[in-house]
Amino acid sequence: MPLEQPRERHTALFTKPVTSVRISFEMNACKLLSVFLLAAAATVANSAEAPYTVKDGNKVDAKTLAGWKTWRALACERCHGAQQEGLVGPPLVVSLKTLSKEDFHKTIMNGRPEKGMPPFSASKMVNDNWEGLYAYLKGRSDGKIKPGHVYPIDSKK
Amino acid sequence: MTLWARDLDTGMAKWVYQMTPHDEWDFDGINEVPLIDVTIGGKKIPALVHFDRNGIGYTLNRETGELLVAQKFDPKVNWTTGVDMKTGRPSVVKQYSTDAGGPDVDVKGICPAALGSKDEQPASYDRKSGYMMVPTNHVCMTYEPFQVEYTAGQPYVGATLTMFPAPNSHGGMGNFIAWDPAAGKIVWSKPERFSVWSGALTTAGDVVFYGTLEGYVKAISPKDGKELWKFKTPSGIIGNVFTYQYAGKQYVGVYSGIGGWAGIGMAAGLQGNTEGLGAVGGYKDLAKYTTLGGSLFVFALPDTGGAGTTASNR
Repeated sequence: MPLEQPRERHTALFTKPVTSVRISFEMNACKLLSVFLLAAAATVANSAEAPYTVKDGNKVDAKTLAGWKTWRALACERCHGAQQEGLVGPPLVVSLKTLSKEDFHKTIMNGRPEKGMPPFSASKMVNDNWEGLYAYLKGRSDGKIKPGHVYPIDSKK
Repeated sequence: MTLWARDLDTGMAKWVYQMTPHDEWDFDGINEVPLIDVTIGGKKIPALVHFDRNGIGYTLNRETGELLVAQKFDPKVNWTTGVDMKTGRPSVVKQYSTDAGGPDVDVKGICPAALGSKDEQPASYDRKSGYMMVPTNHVCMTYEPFQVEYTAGQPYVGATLTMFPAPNSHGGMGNFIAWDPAAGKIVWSKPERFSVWSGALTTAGDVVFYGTLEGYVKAISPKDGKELWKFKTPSGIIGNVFTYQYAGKQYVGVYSGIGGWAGIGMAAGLQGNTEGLGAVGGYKDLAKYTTLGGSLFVFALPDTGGAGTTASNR
């Protein structure tokens, strides 16, 4: 089993910067650490692996749904594309592969004024739902959530 | 959604009339307000007429604001059963109420679509018959409202729309109609493949002109809508047909160049069905019938040796 997967799980679990884990590996504490990571990954519930839960590609948990609604309410698609593929703003399906949750939070709150992205710290929906928005975009980036409208997990659509 | 009459000297409001109270469909009241005299019950009344986005043709006494006529000018209009002539208020059909449906719910089959049974393309008055010549849309929609939050610099639109030709009709997205403003009735209706997004021109010579989104400039009879002449310009027509006399000769002109809400997909290069508030998907076939452009076409009327026949000559 390659080490790639446990490493990612570890990151999602503790939301620590990826770099610290990488350094650990590079320091060659490989064997012992990987055993620990695999054990940790095995004991956590499946839902902790990803910040979202998705069914049929377009039914998501309440938090992720609120995140998508925030995406729609703030018209993020005008710059990042209806499928997060990027327009004048960067493609978030790509960015979310490397952008940490902390950096995501910083970026959405402070914007990137020099690049034309406004700060959203004054938005109640963003303050309430930014983690759900991160989860939604992570799901899009992982290819688990389909582009477009998403619905409640118990929806019949 | 409101017509205002103001005192020209003081700016004070004289009367107001609200067409769509608590608008749930984007039925702005911005369309033109021609001032004409109508005869109702043998009495000549100084009136105004107004073809609203909401699909109702209104006639009001322009001095008092009294509502005289309020009738659908497209029979497919379904969001209301009609207007209460005492209160002036339209009664809303719950099935088509986007407010009753609530956020994140698709309300299907609302007629007309948000761009209205008529938008800003101006109607024209035929003095001989007393009828209005009206370019109209024949388009319905699905409307999903959603919560929005204002952020400076960001778009602020809380609905996703799709548009389509009025179902169970002729399949086209427009009609050019003659309207009796005293009776509130369609006199005749000429189907068009797309919305008629050009202004109309009536003349004293019993010829009415308008343009189509495919690019035709057409001359028809005000009596029955029969086509007398047409010419295909290279792009869609959203301008207003006009006429003038120069050095004793009569000319008819029009701009050819697609755009506007209906033509936004082609004009702005948009692809997604719900873009342009649903107009991009609704009018996607336009690209098969016309192309982008921007040119002025002027036609000379043949010399007849007789008297000029247009309104400008009166």
